[in-house]
Amino acid sequence: MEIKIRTYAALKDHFSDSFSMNLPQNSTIGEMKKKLALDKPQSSDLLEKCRFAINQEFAACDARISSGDIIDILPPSSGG
Amino acid sequence: MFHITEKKINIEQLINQARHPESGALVVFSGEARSHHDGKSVTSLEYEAQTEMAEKSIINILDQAKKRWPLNFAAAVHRVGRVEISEPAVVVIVSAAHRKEAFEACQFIIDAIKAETPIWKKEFFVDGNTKWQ
Repeated sequence: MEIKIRTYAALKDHFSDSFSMNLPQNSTIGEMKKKLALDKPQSSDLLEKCRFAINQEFAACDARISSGDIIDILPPSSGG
Repeated sequence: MFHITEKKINIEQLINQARHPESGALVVFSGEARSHHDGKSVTSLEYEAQTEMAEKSIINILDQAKKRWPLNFAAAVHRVGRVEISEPAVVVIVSAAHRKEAFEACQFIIDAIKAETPIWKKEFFVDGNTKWQ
């Protein structure tokens, strides 16, 4: 299945800000994170600190992704 | 009301909105762009947000504050895009009958925004380097 991933802030040093990814059906956020860390090993420390959202709702590592979902990967907040 | 904006934050306008006949205390926090970080000179800042989620996050934080303290007014606005030195990057403003709840609520709101709201700061240094915080 194909999903869309959006990245922010320091993650954009490793990934483009918006890209598509192919994942097996029923993949979880955790599995997607693992695949991204394998693709870009230098991003793995930062990925571990990130929060994830499926269609703009925060999602835990065991949350299942559906085809066409938009996944936001949110580094630790640094506003203010 | 929008909580994320590309425009300069108008603090005076927010103060006028926050004034309330039953409020004896009005507290404003302005988080301003600072010219140095870790001993390095900063020329400007740039903020990025996941705008829809940041809006929801700030609304949620303001609701929590209103439940916890008897506030007559509470608002928070955060800039995105380029912010020059000494410009407000984030403003929190609350009014309440007494100063104790106004101070406490204002601190709670800014602390929660910094910890939770999906907004990120990029610093531009005088030597031409940049860094996402």
